[in-house]
Amino acid sequence: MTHHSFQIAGMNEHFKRHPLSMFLDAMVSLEIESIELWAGSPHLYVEDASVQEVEKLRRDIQERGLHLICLTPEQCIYPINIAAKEPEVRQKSIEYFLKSLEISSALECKMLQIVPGKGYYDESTGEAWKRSRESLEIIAKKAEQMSISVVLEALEKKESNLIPDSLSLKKMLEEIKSPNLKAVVDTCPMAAAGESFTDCFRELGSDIKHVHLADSFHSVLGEGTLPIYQYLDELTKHNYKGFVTVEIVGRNYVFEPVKAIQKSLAYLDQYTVSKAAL
Amino acid sequence: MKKIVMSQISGMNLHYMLYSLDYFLDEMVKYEMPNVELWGGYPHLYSEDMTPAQVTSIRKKMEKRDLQLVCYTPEQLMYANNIAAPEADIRKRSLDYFLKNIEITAELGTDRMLMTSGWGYYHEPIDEAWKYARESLTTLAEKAEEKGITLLLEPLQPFESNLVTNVKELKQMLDDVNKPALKGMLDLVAMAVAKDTVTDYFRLLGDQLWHIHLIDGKPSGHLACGDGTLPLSQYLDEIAQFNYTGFLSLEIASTAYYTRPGQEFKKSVDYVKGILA
Repeated sequence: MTHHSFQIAGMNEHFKRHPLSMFLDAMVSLEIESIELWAGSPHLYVEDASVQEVEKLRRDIQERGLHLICLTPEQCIYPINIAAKEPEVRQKSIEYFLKSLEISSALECKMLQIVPGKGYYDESTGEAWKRSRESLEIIAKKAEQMSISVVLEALEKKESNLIPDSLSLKKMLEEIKSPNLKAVVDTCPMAAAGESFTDCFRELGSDIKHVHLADSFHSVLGEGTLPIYQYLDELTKHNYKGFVTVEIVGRNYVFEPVKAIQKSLAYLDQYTVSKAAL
Repeated sequence: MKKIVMSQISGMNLHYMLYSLDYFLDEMVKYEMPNVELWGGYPHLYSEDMTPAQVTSIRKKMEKRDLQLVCYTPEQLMYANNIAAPEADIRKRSLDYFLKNIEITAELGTDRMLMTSGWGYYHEPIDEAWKYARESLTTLAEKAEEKGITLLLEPLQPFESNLVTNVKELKQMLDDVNKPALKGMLDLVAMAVAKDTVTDYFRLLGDQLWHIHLIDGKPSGHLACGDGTLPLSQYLDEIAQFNYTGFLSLEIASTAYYTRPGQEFKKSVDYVKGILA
């Protein structure tokens, strides 16, 4: 790849039917130095993770010469919801992220990914928005003390009714105004909202600290319908200098997870910046 | 000719997970569906967050609406549980999760709970994981028997598990565990994906086939009835010919339906009514 300033990171979510060591070894052999760690069972389950387990993981990453750029605790399919109406669920969810910050710190990782949670779809979203904001304030405050950036991601309407697009994401960041609460843009919800990176950069500008690059339905790059090369052109044009994580989640990739990453990398290798972007 | 009847069909709440439990229960009343298989997951009933009083209140919500609970189905795959995990701590957490759910089944006032086998790492031979699954299911079946509950073991699809994914493996696991409180069930999507037939299920399992998930797919997908390519009319005829008298639950689960669960439920009910008419 040539003529762009962002860096590619690998991610382990579609290795969930394989041990984490297989993912780490694959990153070494594919020469991807930067990784984003999906934290879910059996790789790293935040609720049960011990200090010893986290320390072993830190060494496993370090020994391989890998660099952990973002910790992404499972929070969409686990019963975690920082906007939950039930106070005990909301409290449990806040604690899940406070512990995730501790784990990030122990892993020498400076970024934690988070989603806004959701309210019941048969109720108006006003109260759920407030609960989400209050939870994010608590988490961002702790992140400030620990010098970690929390990056907030929009979700598709089938996942959450709170932050579907860059405009609502910007609104949340403005209401909280924490220097440690920023934005991550994932191409799937971005496309679902009918947006491009140009739209996202217009609303969020330099608050975009991270990018998840996935084809439609989080499939391998090139196997879906999203204009991946156009997205890369847009990132180049906006002089994005952060990391771009290739996030693969599709169910059919659990069988041969390494191959799914290889295919995505091969697709990226074919990319050259179009003249219009320069 | 024998026929399946509408009173054997049950509704399910999995694809209502963005809505409140009350909303789902009201919808079952609205669509005149008196039988319910209750999925146990957040935000409706997540066992780890539940007090016995909360479980009782859910039972009362159903009783108040004259809804009959035909099976309780604690979430099997999404959460951090795997009864066949090689890691002892994961296995312990998972066993505790399902043991608590057996208690909840009793408190909900039903005598059937759905189970699956867990899974082993995909690059390893399955022997060890199979042994762990068998041991865990044995422990759970013993506990279930004490409580007067029967566990219904459901095959999974290959992207979910490498242990029990077809009728032969289901029969093998039932034989290996060999406990009266562990029976088998048929999920039409898992069946079609494995290229098994309804006849295979009834021939191999006989009177150990206690429950059915009635669902469409391409062949995978857990789609609303009519949205997939499965020959549901033919399946229902075959099921009837084996004198099946149990329930068939509409286990709609595709995330594409999450924002319009009622519409998809009604469509499925109407489709099945059309077949059975």
